[in-house]
Amino acid sequence: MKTQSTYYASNSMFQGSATDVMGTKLEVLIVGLAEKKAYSVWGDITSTVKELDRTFNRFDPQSEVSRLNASEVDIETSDTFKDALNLCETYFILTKNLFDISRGGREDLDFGGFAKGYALRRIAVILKAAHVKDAFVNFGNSSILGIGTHPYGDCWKVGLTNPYTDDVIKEFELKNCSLSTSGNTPGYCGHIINPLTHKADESRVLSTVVAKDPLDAEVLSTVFLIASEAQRKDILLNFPGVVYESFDI
Amino acid sequence: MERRDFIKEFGLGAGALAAVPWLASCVRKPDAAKGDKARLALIGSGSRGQYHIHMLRGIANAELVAICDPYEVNLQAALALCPTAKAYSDYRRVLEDTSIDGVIIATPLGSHARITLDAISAGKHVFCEKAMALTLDECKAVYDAYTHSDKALYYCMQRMYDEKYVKGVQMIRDGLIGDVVGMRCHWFRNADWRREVPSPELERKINWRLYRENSAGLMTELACHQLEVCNWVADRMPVEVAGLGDIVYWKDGREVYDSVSLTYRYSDGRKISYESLISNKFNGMEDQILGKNGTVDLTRGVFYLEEDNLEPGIKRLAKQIVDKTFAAIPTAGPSWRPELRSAYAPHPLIEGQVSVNAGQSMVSADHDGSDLILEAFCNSCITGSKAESVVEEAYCATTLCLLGNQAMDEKRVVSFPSEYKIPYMKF
Repeated sequence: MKTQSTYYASNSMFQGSATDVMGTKLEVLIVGLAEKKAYSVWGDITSTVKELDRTFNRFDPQSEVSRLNASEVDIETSDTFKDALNLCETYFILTKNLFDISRGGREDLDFGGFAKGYALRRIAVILKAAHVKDAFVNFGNSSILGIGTHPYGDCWKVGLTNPYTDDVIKEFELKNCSLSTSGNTPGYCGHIINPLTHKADESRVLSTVVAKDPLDAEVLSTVFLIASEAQRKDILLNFPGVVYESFDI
Repeated sequence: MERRDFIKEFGLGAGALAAVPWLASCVRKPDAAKGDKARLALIGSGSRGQYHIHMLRGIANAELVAICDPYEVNLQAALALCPTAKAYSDYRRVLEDTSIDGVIIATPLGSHARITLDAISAGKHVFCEKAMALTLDECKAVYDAYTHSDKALYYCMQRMYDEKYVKGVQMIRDGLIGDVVGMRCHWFRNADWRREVPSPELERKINWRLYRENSAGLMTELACHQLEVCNWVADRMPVEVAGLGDIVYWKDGREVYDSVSLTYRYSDGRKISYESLISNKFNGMEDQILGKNGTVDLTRGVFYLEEDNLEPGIKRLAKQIVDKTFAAIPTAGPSWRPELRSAYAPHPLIEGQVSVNAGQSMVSADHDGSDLILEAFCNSCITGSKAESVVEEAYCATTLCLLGNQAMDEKRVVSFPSEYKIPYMKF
């Protein structure tokens, strides 16, 4: 993981980025903290995502998930891992079996549609503990968390871009909520598997979910990409307040 | 804008003709009022020769008066396109006709040098298909003959006249992608390169590309164009080449490689990575110029900037707040993943419609510059003026192709031999 950060003293604003983390990049903007405090919060955030990377990164053979996938017998797992597995089980039930990190029991565990949302949830806890009122966190563009508001606005505004054309499709206003996007890109297609049919999704659709909880948003944006309309309506009953929207691209 | 106008606009605009000297002959036109016509003979009237006949129809000051081909089928096919032309089977008889100003040579590579030398001796202006010749000695002989002659000699290296290449190279020179750090060119097809042969004794004549007596294979037929572009961008010549060549798939008695992979190295360490394979076309044809700040794909007329993917949205957001503005940042979308080529956004090199050659035709591509060269040649036939740097560029590219073959045949690193260096070359 490589990090970069800047503190803008006249705006009491901290900006930090980390690359090579969970296969993507993490960007954080925090408003209203003193410099020293901001760097200490950033230190907590980076050590948390590092820990999560060691847990969930299936491309790292030393990560917990890789060791578990490679092992024939049960191995001792960390509290984080146990917590994650419990959450996955809950989502498995709440999404009518469509959210399945074992992809229908046929594959190794894959936390691809979970880890970033889980990380954002942990980051939100760190920010709350530090009494941060306004912050913007972007995990790989697909999971974005807006806490409080932009200093010169009444929310945080983000544009959803079409990965095939770079055009902005829609602007979302985030205030104490999260936006997650799932879909195929020109260079990365067919990575989402329907666990019930075992078919890879190759559609040119973006599925977006806005939710209070970044993990709900993350899980549901992936699930709704492969869910039928009836399944979606059914699942949404379990998630009051969640807003789903899809875009043909 | 008319396609031909780009040269005028380009030349007048930036005084940039110094960097693309061969374009000067495209703007130097004879006095149209005089109504002079270039009286031309076509030597070699196979598919490429017939393509030139079509091109000549669009050039007002061209008059095709003779067609020569020892193969009756091709001769008759060409005469059907231009019935007024006189038919010949021996090119030497064509050269005896003093009323002919210039000849267009579209014969197998093995005869390029001989016909060019004879034509120059006979006082004809010459337009010849690339590559220049089959051997290094032949290249040198043609080059020497040309420099001692007052006749014009053109080689059909289309990329040199193709708007997206001309402007793209200029933009690279102007710093579009920072320091050029390497080049990566390839040409992939999935076809056997064969033509139908009516009787077996014609195999080596019709499928001349497959046999070394007349062909240097993928290097002179395909790589030649691309290596010229690399030198044009680098403004110098590689000092050495290493490579491996094999017949991987088309084991049909051919003698030339159907798979080549070479590295050309410049004196400063920059390299051209070149690959061609004709049993898989997935990668198509690309001429990529790699810069510290971006990449230009001249084939498609687009460039990509490294920073497009590195400039984080969060920095834009921070700048917004510093500037006390509030707006959306276009950052949401499917997962961002590092180091995926297609994640870069293409930017066009030129405005308007871009003709892109998919590289799959054995004969030609539309609007690839062939017509501009032919027109410039016709102008030279009338005015008698030579084209700047065309022969030199063809010489540089062809010698590199032949040295590449030598490196592959001998399985060793071949340095550019001093006896074939010409003053035009910078190393």
